[in-house]
Amino acid sequence: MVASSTSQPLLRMEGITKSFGNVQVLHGVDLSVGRGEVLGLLGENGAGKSTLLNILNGVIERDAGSIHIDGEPAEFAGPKQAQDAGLAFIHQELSVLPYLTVAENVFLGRLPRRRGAPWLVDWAACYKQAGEILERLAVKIDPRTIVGRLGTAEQELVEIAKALSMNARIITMDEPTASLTEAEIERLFTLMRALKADGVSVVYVSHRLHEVAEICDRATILRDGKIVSTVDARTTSSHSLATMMVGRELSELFPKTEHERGRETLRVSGLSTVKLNDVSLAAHQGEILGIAGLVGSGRTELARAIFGADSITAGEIFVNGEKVTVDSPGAAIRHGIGLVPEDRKLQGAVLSMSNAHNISLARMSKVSRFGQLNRGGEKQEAKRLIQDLQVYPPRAEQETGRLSGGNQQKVVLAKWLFAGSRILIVDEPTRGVDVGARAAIHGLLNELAGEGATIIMISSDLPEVMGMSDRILVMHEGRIAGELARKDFSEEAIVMYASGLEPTKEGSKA
Amino acid sequence: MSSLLARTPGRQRESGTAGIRRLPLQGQQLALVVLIVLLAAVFTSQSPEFLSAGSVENLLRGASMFGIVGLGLTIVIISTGSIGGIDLSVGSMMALGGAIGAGLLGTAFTAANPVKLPAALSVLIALVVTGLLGALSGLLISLLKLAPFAVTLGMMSVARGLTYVMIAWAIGSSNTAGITFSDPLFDWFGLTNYGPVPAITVLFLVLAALIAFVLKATAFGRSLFVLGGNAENARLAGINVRRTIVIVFAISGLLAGLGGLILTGRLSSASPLAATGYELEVIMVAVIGGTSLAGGRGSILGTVLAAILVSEINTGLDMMNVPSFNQYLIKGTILVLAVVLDKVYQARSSRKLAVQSA
Repeated sequence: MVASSTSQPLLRMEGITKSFGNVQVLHGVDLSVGRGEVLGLLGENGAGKSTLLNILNGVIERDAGSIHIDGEPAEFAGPKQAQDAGLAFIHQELSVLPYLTVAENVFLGRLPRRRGAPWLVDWAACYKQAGEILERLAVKIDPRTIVGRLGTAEQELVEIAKALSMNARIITMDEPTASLTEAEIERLFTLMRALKADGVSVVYVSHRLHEVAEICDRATILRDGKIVSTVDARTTSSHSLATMMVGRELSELFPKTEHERGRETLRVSGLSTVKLNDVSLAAHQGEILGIAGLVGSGRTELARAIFGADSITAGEIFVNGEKVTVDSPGAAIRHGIGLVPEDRKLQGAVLSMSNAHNISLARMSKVSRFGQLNRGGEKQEAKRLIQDLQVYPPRAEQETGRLSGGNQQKVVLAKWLFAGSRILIVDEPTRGVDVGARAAIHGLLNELAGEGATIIMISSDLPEVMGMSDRILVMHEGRIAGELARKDFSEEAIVMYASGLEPTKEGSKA
Repeated sequence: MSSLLARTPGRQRESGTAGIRRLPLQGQQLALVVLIVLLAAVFTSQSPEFLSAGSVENLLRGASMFGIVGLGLTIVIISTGSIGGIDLSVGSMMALGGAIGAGLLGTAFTAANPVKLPAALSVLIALVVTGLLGALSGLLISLLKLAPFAVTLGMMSVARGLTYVMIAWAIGSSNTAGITFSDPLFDWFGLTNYGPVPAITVLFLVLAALIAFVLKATAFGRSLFVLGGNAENARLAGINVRRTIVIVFAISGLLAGLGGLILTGRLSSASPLAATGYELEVIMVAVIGGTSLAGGRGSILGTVLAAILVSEINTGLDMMNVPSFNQYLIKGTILVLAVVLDKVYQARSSRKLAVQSA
């Protein structure tokens, strides 16, 4: 551990513990931030960062542990109390109101009132005070500007100004650079250095490891709800940060079955959308192609673009060597492509419908004649798939919303088997699914690949994507940042590619 | 486990239990039946005439007219409720349907009568025009993603305007008098009975059965419920969302046009002010019938029962000589109560799902 720059840390969190239901998310986390310090908080998706930050800012309650600010114990009943205690939380999704002015945003809910007439807003004071704060930040924005006209970076500065107007002493920034350009990032960093000089502390969350080295004093690495280490951010290499974030051995939970890789079934070339930039890939019969990358790196968008759910601005899609037009999910389904979406409850299954209806949904024509459904045949077919996939309870008429997450996911898979999809894109197929169902879903995917289907599997869970895939493409900011063959799989290499870095030699061998 | 992929559709026999364990009426529908009977008792006690043959016939005619239009609105709300689907133009569309049907006949008394078409053709044109205007609403809603209430509110005004234009053209004068005429086909709409049952009641029940069948037993009907539950879900299942929205609004327009022809037949006249405010009754029919304004849920049986209830309220209040402004007050209150009940039901069922999936 590296000593903090001052003797008495401004913020001290000790033994923070939190469980959701039976799942313990934080196991006694300790964290401290010095006055005027920028602390990097690092960890993979699901490591517990958000939970920790939400506890710090009074959004959720902790189960155990203590928080001290300036040596004083702090108890927050809600975000409001945390704000009053000098905490500010700037989320990745900005919360400025685009139709209001900068000054109105800064003083939202606390607009200065006229003396003697407190039901009237004192606009002169409002603009003057907002101007003073912006000046203190060396930001040249007119407080009368409508926020929606500002760029993302400037909107972020408005959020920071708002935090300062509330006398925030500890500002949490959750991936503030996610949507900024290089120049804007520089500007933000300049501002952060000014804040430091003013004695304001920052908890900085980012997946971009080189930024952490540039702006943070120390970095705390969180993994599986525990602190792995706190290191000097300026002297620790990106590679060792990545290693610490990942840290664990590849689990043996995923018994990969080897299949003959057949002919090419899907080729995507130069695919671009609002969120994707020139993505090309090929997938084969019997292959499980993994797609890794951080949340927001364009993985889901890639799946949706191939499936025709988002419109593409450029690029071509070939199925079995033939160029096809996939301008709607209906077209994708006709070409044998299926999508098991990330959001199972809103996009995968219709929870209010029965299993049988869900299973036939993507291809009702298979059990209908002249538009009239053969409901007996539909039910029979659904029953068979329910048995094959071991959906529990095994009833065709059961409302899908009443099944467990894992069983709902099996119903969604059954839908694509029913529709005869040969190219199956599965987006986070085991998220929110218990261990048993997870194994069953992995078994199913393996079995499908064994029968010659093409599986494209998106997953944030590195052991899962490494255990299941024949090949992994890693995405970063809407592009394919790297490709790894099974023999070259390593969590470090994936994390490096996902963070926009090239894996080092020792990284890929580790 | 046998091969998962190499599957041919099963050709098994049905298990043969479909429909047996289902009760004919669900809770809400049962409540409607009880209400209909209770109200009949109340109205009869106030005015014994209520159960006379003439009054019942009148009640059935009203129920059939509002019911036919309500069928269209029911499928609009079932399939587009999740995007705020509603058709406010039904009242004006009724007026327009009637004006076109009557205006093209060339049998208006003391009028210009610029064309003289056979009745069947006039009726057909009226249905095509109202259907196309409905499709236009659907097109604007699905293509430009406009709010259904705003588009159909605009269409409400446009259709009313077209009604004036049509009538002024037919009678050759721009005064706002209606078209008075006589025609056997329109008499069938407005006067004919089969035994004690009005012809249009038979028409209503046939249409209701047809739509119930489409909703229950066809791929198209199934897709309406999916779309109404969640449009994105429907799109990802390969359902052509735009086309479906256009079709349901076209059906709503067409059925409103048919309702207007019936109204015109009952009155033997088409007035530019006909059916003013009737969207209230039609929306009542759909909502009281158990169609959820949130979409994805509704039943045709409920719509049929609600049509009877709404017409019963109209008939009963008229017979008790309740002034029309008081009637508005009562009907508006009933509509809002029905929406409250729908909200309570939604909250309860989503809580139930949440508990089960936790």
